[in-house]
Amino acid sequence: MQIALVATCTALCAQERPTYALPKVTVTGTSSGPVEKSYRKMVQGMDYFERARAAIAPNASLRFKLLPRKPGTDMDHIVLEVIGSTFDYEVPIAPDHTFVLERNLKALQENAVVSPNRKRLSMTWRTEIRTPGLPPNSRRLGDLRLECQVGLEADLVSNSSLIARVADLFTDNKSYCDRKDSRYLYFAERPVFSVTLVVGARREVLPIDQLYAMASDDPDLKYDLPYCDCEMLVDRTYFLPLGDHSWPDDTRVEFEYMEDRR
Amino acid sequence: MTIAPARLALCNAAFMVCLCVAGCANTGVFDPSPEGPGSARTPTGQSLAPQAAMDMIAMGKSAKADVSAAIGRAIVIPFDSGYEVWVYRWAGSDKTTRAATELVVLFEPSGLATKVRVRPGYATPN
Repeated sequence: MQIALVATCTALCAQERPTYALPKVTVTGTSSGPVEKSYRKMVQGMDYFERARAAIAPNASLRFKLLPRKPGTDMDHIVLEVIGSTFDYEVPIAPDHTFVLERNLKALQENAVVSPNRKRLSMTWRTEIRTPGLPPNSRRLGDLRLECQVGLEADLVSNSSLIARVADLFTDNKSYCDRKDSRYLYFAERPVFSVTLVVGARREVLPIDQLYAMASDDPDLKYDLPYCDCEMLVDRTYFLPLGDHSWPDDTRVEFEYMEDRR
Repeated sequence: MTIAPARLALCNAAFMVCLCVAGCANTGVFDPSPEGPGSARTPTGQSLAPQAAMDMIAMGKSAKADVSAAIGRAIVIPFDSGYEVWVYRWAGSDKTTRAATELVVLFEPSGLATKVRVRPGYATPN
């Protein structure tokens, strides 16, 4: 419960406390209903991406991504639909579990939902913003900064508790992504052994508490994991110093994976 | 902006939850206790430098028991995959994890060390 509660209050504490905060997490309750998102909110995220990309990630493209949250979740046969009150249509999902949303006026008017045929808590969502042409096993920090902002704008990472709703009344979610101590959970493609920031001659390896959902410093993590959308992805999880602008957007984020051979 | 009293009370309650639950999470700092896990020491209790500790680990040969016997108890991060990460830390100029030097060892599911690295500490910007 610790992560859930702290994540809930993260935004609320933002003004008052200069200390650190645990990761933003998705807490979506215990209903057996599907994992669904608001089409309008996702389009809102797409709009934000179009407005912000020129400054942060001018050559990048946006996709959305589905990730497993519970063991045994079948990620390879997902049917994803946009469902309004008078229509529905299927959204193709790529083999890497990413997809794009087409803009559809009727879906906006009918306040449609984007719904995969999977139960709540079985999956989670993220944005995937990539600049083409980067070296293998690397990402661009500006892309990842924008992933955080668009993810929050699109309400992909959300809390549904009462406290979180109250917190939302007082804060601009996206500003969380620009805090030096932001704890937006990123997931690497595979289990990571190290993550290094590189710009010019400057290199810095992230400390271990920036990997694995802070497992190094949280002996109770296993009790918190059911409340974290990183539950199945701990070995792929990392944080970034999003608000530290001594690292420019062109900073490369390099990954060494556990199973890589040197 | 006017804040309704009830909303303010709820806001305060939420903030108190923050304070009570891990103090809004004390990440980025650590307690470099020499007795705690993650302090690299020889079996006779002498502290080890990061490179010396790393040199005592043989890739593909050292098992977990070998490593703990040689350099002491680690901070252990187990994963469902069977992989395990062990961490030893040396405090830097302050108690931040950024300033700390780290020795990180990866054990594959067979229990043998398969990767090791030393992360240098970095000066905390003013």
